[in-house]
Amino acid sequence: MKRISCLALLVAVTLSPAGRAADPAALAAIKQIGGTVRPMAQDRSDWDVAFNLSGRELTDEGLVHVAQLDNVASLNLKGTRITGAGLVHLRQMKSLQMLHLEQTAIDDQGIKHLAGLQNLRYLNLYGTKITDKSLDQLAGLKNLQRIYVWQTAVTDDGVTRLAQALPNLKIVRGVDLSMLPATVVAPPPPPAKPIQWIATSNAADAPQSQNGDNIEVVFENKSKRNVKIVWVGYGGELKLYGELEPGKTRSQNTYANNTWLITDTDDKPLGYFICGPERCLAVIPEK
Amino acid sequence: MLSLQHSRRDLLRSSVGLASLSVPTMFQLCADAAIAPRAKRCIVIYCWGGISHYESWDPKPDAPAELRGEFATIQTATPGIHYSEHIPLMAQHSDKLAIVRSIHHKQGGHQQGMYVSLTGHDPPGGVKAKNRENWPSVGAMVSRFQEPMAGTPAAIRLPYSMYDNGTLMAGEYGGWLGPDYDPVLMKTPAGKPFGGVSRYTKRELDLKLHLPKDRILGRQALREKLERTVGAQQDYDRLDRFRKMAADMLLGSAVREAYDLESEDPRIRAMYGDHIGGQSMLLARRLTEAGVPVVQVCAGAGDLAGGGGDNWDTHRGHFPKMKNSLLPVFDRSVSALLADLEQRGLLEETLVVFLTDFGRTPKINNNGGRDHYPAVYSVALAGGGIQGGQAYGSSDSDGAQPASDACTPGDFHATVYKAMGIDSHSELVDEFDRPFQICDGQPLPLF
Repeated sequence: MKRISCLALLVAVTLSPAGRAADPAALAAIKQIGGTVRPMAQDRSDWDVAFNLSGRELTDEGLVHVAQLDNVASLNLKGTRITGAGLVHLRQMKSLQMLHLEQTAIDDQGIKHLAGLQNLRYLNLYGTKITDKSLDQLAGLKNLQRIYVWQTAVTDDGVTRLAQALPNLKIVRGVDLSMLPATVVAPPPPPAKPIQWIATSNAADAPQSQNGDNIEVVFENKSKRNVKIVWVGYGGELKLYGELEPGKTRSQNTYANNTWLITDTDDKPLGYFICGPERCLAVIPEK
Repeated sequence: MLSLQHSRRDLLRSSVGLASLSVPTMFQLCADAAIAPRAKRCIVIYCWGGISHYESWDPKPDAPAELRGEFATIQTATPGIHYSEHIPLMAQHSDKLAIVRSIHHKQGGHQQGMYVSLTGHDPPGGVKAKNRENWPSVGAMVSRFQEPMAGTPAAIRLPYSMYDNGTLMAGEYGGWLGPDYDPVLMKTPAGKPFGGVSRYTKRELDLKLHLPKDRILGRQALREKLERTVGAQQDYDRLDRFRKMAADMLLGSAVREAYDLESEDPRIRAMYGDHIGGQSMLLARRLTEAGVPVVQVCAGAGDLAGGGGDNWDTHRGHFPKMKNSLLPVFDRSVSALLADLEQRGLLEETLVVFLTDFGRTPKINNNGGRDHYPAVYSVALAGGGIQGGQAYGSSDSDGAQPASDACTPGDFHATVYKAMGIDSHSELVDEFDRPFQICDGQPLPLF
């Protein structure tokens, strides 16, 4: 009995932390468009609403539903399709403390709608179209503790002005990518192991492909003519993958134990390769 | 809330039949402590082998030469806090780090030291990796309270399992939480490997990219057909789970995108360093950003192999190995991770946890090495609501004993749970309905 009453309470609590009812229609609408709504914590009566993982198709219209929810403390719109104009729907969301707008199309025009969000302490604008104009519009948010402006067009001047207006604010500008070397970190592909060329004029000699690990095969055409590269399927079917000019190479995704038939441009078979277990080199010989 | 607390155990026991209410939600609602969570994700960085506290976060410039070692001490970005000289990049991020210099335990072996460090509980005698009686790792436990999206593993380990001379180590698994909570092992797809032995066996998820969709679906269908004819379905339940997860990811989830390091800005990749240590940290950022709640990174070669490779078990040639192989990779990758999380605004909601088996002996041995030393060592936290720019507790002037605020792995774990919004006194039941309080430590005042 105790258990049942606790569960009954749980259901109630899930739907309305600390007794505050959330608009069920708004909840359903948010869920419908891929958003999640969770209590900030079990002892808090405010909500954490997120679209950054499963709701990236969110557009400005979808924000109407979010605005209908009372007591939202954190809203994550990262990477969604909202625009600056859509932020008008957030104007009355005075309970917002954390707002993620990074990697969206929002701009200076939209930022003015945030000027009244006096409880905002975290504002993420990284990777947006904002400029110093946005920073100037945010100078009245006295509770703002952290603002993120990496990969935006803000300048030293704008940052200095905002820092003067809000001395306790931490303005995170991030690393200057233009100062970082772009050394290629990908290791070079492993050396390709040569595989055997088996000459034949009969396509039926080329065996069906067998299963194996995902590898790469590099075709090198040392003959004097254009050749066709044809995959022999698991059921023996033939599938053209492309032509290779004389002297050229081509890297092809394949699987160990797959068979590749080489023909001339009239589809007359010249020979075939069977891939080995590792990245392999298939040299189409001169003759 | 007291009446709720009273029946919490009943409630958790009954969870099997309540598919509609997720266990974490019920748990959160019935827990008694008033905790406001900050962190939503957790990255655990494990220095396999036992990183020396002297040559990292707790240098002893005033100790006698035979203890002090060869390295100098540097000022960090935080006045009054000094690190050892070969982590200069990390020193610039001291404002984000809370170093704990007074942690200690009683386990002098790797197996046991790793177990107590990763689970927060002393190991039983003869502990074995695959034993379901073992305590879950901190990563597994944290993941138990998360609700990831479909097709997203609750916890991932990178880039390999931890071994000692070929023996798989206990402590980084789901233990009595059951196989569903074993963090899933993934290989980091790029980077120069650590010197030494790292075993790539029994990987559960190896995302082979660029596989055509029809091929994945075809393989799935074939497997299902085969298994229907082979035998009892329940034998395959666990394999099925991983396969389904792998297939979900391959078919285009955020996790698959995150796994593709080639899609990262090459300048950011370079910032983490051209090494599997750095690329694993980058992958950890990408995976947590994509919704994986917990990622653990082994920061060192996977098999200690008698201290032979690039791991922290520096019994021989300690100083050159630290200076030339281990610290440069660690310094660069950790600094890049902290800077990158910060500039994306992720650090506030991502807890970064540094753990290791134990510290190293004060006295330098005849092979120019330092040996195992659990009596005092250093660990650290960053992000997730942790107050950076602090050093909690202290060791004595020789770095041999805690001098103030001595604490245990259990206390450190309780701090992690608190940061993640998990009541460290909560109880869970194992498959036999036996109740366990998840942690017996007290959270440290690092917030």
